[in-house]
Amino acid sequence: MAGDMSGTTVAGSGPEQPIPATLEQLFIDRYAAMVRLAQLLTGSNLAAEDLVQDSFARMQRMWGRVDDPVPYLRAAVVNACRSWHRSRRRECRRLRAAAPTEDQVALGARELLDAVDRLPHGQRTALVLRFYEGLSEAQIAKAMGCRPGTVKSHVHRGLAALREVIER
Amino acid sequence: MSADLETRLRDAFTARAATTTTASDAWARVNRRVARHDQRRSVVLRSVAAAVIGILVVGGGVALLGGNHSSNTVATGSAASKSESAADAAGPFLPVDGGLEVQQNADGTIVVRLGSTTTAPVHPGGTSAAINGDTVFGVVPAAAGSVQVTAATGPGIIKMVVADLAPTSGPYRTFRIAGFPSTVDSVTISVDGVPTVVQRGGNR
Repeated sequence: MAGDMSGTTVAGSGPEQPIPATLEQLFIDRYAAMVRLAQLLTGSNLAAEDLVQDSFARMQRMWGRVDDPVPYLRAAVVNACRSWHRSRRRECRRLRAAAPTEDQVALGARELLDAVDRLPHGQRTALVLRFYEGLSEAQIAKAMGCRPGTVKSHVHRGLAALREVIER
Repeated sequence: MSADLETRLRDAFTARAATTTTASDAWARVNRRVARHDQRRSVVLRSVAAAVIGILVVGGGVALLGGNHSSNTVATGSAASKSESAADAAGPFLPVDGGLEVQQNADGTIVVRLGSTTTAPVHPGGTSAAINGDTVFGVVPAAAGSVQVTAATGPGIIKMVVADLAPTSGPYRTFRIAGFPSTVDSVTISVDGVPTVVQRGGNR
């Protein structure tokens, strides 16, 4: 499953892909990548799947009215994760604490991810979209519904906060 | 330093993302959600459509009845009338103003009933008033157990027959309007102070 994620391949970059003709095609192309993105944003595999499935279900209603469904879907997932964080902070912590998969992450990486998890949602989202999805500032701004300048600020502050944690 | 941090961050994200699993029936779940969303939407749309159709049906019935106001028609309280009444009850009762519910019957009459939640139900032995606009033109005594009541009329204005006033099964009281004036655009039916405006051509 992680085959398409090896090396530096990132979900949002690379040459322009053809626009999927059906929701099912979009699902086949993007479901796993969106779940991974949502997991990075929520810290929970269960929540990630739930949110992405819901985003696809909502997407069905918009199908045919969206020019390029991939950025739309990404923005929907980012928004869903933000709402999830707002309304379920406690459960988020519980699920994250219970996630068995964290053991598979190397110790140094886990500390770094813990620090990422403690960042404000905007900074965390900007870092994930920048360094995992490999999106440009403009693309991140579109996904987050903010200005490119705000993205730049989120990335800068997020990295500064992480640097502080690492150097401590 | 910054490049190193960015690399470490990329590696950490990739490592965490690699632990992600997806359910094998995810597409089926998405479809179930789509169906649920569609179902919710169609329930809302059906409710709205039913309300609109109900209003149109009531308005159409009122318009039809308007041409039929030679009505010295007096419904009888016979068993036949009652079974006819039951047969007419095929359509749903739809709520209108004033806490009343209205049903259009196949014979062109309208049955008005008070729901169990209405705060001022018709009591046998109480009174019902038929009002043209703001003018009360008839007060109908509703004697306990009565099955046939004819409205009193105002001076040369109108004649309306309210018949078949009887307790029915359940918590409802129903009465039948067998005539509707062709000379008025709307009639307010007021039962023990609870008004319902019925517009010719449909309630707005």
